[in-house]
Amino acid sequence: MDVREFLQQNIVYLDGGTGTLLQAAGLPLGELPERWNVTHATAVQDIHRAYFDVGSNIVATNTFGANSLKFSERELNEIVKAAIENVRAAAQTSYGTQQKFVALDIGPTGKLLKPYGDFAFEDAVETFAKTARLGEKYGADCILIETMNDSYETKAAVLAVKENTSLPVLVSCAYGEDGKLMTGATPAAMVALLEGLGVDAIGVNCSVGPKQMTGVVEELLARASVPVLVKPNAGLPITDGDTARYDIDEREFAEYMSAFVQKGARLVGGCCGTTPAYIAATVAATNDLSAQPIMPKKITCVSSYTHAVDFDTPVLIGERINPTGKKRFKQALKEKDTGYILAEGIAQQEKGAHILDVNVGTPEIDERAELPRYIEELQAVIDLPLQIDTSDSVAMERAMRLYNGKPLVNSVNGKAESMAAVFPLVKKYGGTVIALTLDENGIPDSAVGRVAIAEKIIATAKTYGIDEKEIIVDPLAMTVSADKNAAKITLQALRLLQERGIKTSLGVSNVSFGLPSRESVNAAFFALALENGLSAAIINPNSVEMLKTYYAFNALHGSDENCGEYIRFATELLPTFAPVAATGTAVKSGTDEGGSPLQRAIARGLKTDAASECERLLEHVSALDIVNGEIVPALDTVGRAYEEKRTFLPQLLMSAEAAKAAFEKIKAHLLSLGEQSAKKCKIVLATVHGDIHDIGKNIVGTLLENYGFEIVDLGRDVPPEQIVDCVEKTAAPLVGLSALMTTTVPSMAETIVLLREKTPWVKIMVGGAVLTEEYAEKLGADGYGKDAMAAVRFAERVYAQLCKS
Amino acid sequence: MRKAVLQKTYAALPPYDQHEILRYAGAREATDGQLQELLGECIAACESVFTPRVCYTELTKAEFFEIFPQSESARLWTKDCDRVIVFAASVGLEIDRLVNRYASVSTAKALLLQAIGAERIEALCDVFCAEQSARSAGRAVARRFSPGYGDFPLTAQKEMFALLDPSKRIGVTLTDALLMSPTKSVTAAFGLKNSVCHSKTETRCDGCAQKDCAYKKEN
Repeated sequence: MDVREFLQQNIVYLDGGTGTLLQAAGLPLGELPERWNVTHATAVQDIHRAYFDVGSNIVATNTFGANSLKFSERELNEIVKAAIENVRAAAQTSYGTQQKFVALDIGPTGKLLKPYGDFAFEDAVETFAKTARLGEKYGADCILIETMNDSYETKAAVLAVKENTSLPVLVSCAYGEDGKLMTGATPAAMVALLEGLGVDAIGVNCSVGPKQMTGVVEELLARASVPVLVKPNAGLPITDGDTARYDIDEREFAEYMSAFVQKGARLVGGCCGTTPAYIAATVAATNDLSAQPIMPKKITCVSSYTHAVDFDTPVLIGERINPTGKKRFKQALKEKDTGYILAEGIAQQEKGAHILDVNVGTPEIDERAELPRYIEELQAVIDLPLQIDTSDSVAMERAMRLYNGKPLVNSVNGKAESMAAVFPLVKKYGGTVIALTLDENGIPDSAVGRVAIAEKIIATAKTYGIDEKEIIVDPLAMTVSADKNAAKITLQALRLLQERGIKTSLGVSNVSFGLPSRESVNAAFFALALENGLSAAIINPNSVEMLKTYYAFNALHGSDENCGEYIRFATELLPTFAPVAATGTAVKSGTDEGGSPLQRAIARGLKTDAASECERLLEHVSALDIVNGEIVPALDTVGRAYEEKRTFLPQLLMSAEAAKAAFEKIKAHLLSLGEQSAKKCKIVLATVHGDIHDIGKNIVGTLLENYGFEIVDLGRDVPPEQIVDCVEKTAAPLVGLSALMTTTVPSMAETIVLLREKTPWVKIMVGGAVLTEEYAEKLGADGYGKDAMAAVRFAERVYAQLCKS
Repeated sequence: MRKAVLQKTYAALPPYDQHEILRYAGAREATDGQLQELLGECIAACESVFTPRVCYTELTKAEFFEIFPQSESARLWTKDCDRVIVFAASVGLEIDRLVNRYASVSTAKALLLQAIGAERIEALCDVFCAEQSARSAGRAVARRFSPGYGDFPLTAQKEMFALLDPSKRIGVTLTDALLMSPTKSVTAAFGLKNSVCHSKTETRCDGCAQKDCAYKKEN
């Protein structure tokens, strides 16, 4: 019998805290426990055997930290081989008569993945893959990925196992007392991610004792359609002189474990501090219980790195990250203006969107490179699940692979070609997919016809092993001005699909195309669609009418307890939609300050005022005159005040942002005239390789942009070659490098040497906490920015030289 | 023998020290309303962002110097101490995400948020040190020091991580360049003096050689 079969029928006993026993057996401080597989095979086997003797079915190898970061490939090979042999030998020599399996144990690497750490996702996948391949080669029966405390690293580990072995994979995470992983994921988010990836069991281990784990176990049981695994510590640690022990004895431990089994847990064992006595007590306490059946849960959900979003109450999907019909957005994509795209995402979240659609498809950019990049950028700063929206299946796969969660995928349709492209990806990476009711014959003009396509799509998905709950059907909102029955057909289809228990989604605003006052039609149609069972709507969250309809519907529909959400919307969110006063009152009242209203708005760092003043001026003053006559002088005044220490960094930045708001208006104005704003010259900025602190570089970037420079921001932890490559490609006359720590200065030096060799024309300025004027000179830099204004002044000098020559 | 490493999660930290936050943000003076308002917004945005955690172990002084590299500074800072507490602390990754979130929207906000994070991690360290002093029957806590202070080398981070295993316990990881992530994390050590606490507390800036520092604390 193999592990998968055994899991289906039985309560499965795991082992306990192997590490605890290794220490007791004399593992010294500082010695890597994995080496003992080779050097102390008998001691390791004795520990494994002790667990088999008391009834463990699956014993994990002593390979928690066995990876290529800690060991050479040769030693890793030796360790994994010995580790599996040790468990196998223990199984053969144990007097236990139960079914016995060897699990290859895989723990976290101890590194944090990019962008917050320095470990690239694909490097993590490859690291886990090396260990996993050895596990299969040397005959492990399954793989236990355990004690994972980050969703992204967990995804890397599971992908590595699935892509490189055919072994069953059990995945267990360490949830803290707050019921979340260290990087924020809830059990619901992890179930969504891991079931999507097709793991064989999902669980929780380590960190806390069984008592503190109860909430997590219950949530796993409520949501998982696969067996649930529970491996608590022997309570919480307490000090006892110089050593730690745990506060729960085996009897109490077993009581908790018995309760978990009765609730439905199927794989039980222990983690830190659980000796064979704990497992023996657990076996004794649960031996007479029958295994609870594993029920499929019909939960349609997607997830981010923190949480899952269920489609049980209507879900709002923000549509704004999409270039269709938006000049400014297209320009941002072309210029790789990531900040602009992130701002669109953040704004939608602030307006209450639950999921963000991400579409960057425009002929001018390489979608296959850019879509995954934007997915990475967005998921670094926004905790909403993302909807990957592309018709290019290569871009789709890359984005799905790098996505930190279970994505919503937009979209598949009834054409054989579309299904053949999308379903294998959904099967491999997990995801819920929007299914458009059209096929080779077009869009049926009847509700029944559209439902028939939906059924075809669902049936085809099943042949790929994709459950019906992962398909959200979009019965297509057609333009009512072209066909008076268009909306009625869509609404009927919604009703039929709801009766069939299928989740639905609509791009609502299509309905009003070609009509005046579209928002009224959209809002009414949205209300009707919700009443007919709509589960998700792709909308513009900046549309107040849509939000009003949404919150009012939920209140009227009995899905908003005490109308709490509606009241919160009306009192907190609604006022943020109020139109901005034509001119800022705050600016006008300041009689003590010199300059025009726009200059005063910039001086005082008032963003909205600066924007509206600039807009007002644009009606009768040329863009160039506003820049040279208003914005630049205002910035200079603030810059001087900063240099003379009359004002400080936060105020300087607030003014910079107010100026940026004004520039944004000018940009939009020029674009509408088909012109581009004038730029001084390009400057490449980067925080050097190894350094992950970039606030200083960002501050410099903000100011330089204000002074009219075109910034190419390469981000942080940038290898020298990439910086040189960028300077070569852009022919930038100036590059700015930042380093915070003494340890990263060598990589700054390395970058400078390479720049001098490959791009001798470029001027180099450096800055960062650890640098001084002398140090900068020693490194061979041309300029040293002791603060952001100093960097601006240096850039201005370089630009002036450039203009002269 | 393996040392017991304990861990602790804090439900709350002391109130914000706004003066301290502004100091970290490079603003020295009491400020205008505009900045005050922005700071208020940033503090509000930090609600439920921090997850203060500490893991620590107590060593004899002899054990400390067996594990860690030799350092004159460390000797000096543990003078009159017989025990040394080594700890790692972090307020979590979410503040890094929040700073990054605003980095592209508002650099001023990003600056203030990272200053808030710096103030919080220091507050956490202070709370932890005070607790340890109280726990050891009021023994004075000597100067707290971290890898990179004085001649106590930054490479001591490796020993810190081997001893405390903070990635597993509190989610703090070390990059190849010996930087910690989350960034608002600290590893440090401090001696417990043989004497009982006396009133004068040193500020962290006492005894620092750098004269021209924008962040220097005024007494």
